[in-house]
Amino acid sequence: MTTTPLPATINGSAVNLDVDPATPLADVLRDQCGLTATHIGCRNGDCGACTVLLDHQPYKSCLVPGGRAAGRAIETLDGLAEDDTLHPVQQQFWDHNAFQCGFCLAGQVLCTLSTLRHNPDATDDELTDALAGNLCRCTGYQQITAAARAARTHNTER
Amino acid sequence: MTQAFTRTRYHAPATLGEALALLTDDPDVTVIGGGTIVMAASAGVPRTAALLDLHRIPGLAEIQQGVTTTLGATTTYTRLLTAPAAPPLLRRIAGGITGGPQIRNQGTIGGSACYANPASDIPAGLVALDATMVVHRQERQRRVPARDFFAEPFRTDLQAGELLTAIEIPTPPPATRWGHAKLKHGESSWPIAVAVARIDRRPDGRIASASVTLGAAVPTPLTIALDLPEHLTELDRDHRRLIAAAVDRAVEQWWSDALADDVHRRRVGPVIAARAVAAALPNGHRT
Repeated sequence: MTTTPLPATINGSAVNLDVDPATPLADVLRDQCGLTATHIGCRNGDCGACTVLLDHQPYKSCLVPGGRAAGRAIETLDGLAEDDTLHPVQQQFWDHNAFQCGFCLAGQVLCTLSTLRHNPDATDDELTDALAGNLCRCTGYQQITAAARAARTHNTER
Repeated sequence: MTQAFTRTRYHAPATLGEALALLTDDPDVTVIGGGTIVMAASAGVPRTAALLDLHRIPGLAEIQQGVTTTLGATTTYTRLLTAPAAPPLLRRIAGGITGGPQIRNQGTIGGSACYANPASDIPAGLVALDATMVVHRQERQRRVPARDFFAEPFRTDLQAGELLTAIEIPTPPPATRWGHAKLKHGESSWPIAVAVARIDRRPDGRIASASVTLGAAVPTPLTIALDLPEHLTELDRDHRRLIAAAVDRAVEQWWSDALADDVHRRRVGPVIAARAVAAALPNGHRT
């Protein structure tokens, strides 16, 4: 295995990792950075639990070769809360009981966040579409979509 | 750490020339456009000795509009959805891709074409649009009609050392109408059947020609010419029955996979084809 330097920004901090560029970004984040809110459910692109934002856009990080993240701004679910204060989108998920086991939260929260950053007035249909790449086995999606819609009225930039 | 890729060499060349040289020099290399197929751990794709990642090559993800619209091979679904120059039919197809915005941001039109999974959206769309596939190898370039590119399930006409670099879409006459219909049984499913109808009309409005291209339900996309009444504006039950019968006659073999067997696809394929035709008519229904 040959490693290469990977300069990037992770949750606002500049890093220079030494990575095997063919290893999925999800493994780089979990194993080398300890960012374990990025969950690995299927390694297949189906479940969305490994979702991260690259330059503000959501990707399933199990499918992204680690080397491709060079020079990108990476955001993971780990970076959203400030100390004990949840991010406004996370707070809406909490208030709406929008998770039980929490395994799918990276995808649900980050897809909601990236959509509202680009379009604070996203319609219900646009929010549903934004969440379509994330599987939840607990809630039946009703609370998740309710939380995403409620997040529209809260400041998503923080 | 995942085991599958830890011994995989990774190339991300900065130029097309370097990529073509690598393809010639390293026969074990697997090309990735977005990577959503090859990087998936259980998609049935053999693990690979080396990845050739195209994402750094300038211009390969661009759309250029001229007499024909040229789509770079690594044009993502998101780009198809947002670029004004993207053909409207491909925009519609891109909006129905399974996997949410994450997959639309990463998956590419060229990658989907080269995977040539029968149960997918892009191949039938390209055949219906009469697309031309632009194929490079060192010192040489050739163009392949999309209908010849999809040779058999999971195999294209690409030869060793060759790389799909672009897809050319001819601009249809203004009076051409398209209809698209698709069936899948769950939001996260690959498609069971897709169909694209094309209806061309004379200046006086009479139908000059009509066809429907079927995908996902057949091993490779199949275009079926239809004999429609020239003043047709919507489909009644008899029209639908005739179209479905014509499709059933034209298909020699129905596709079968883990999601649906050939018996099921033979039942639903002709119905989806008729829905696509209805959507291409002035009073058609979008379903």
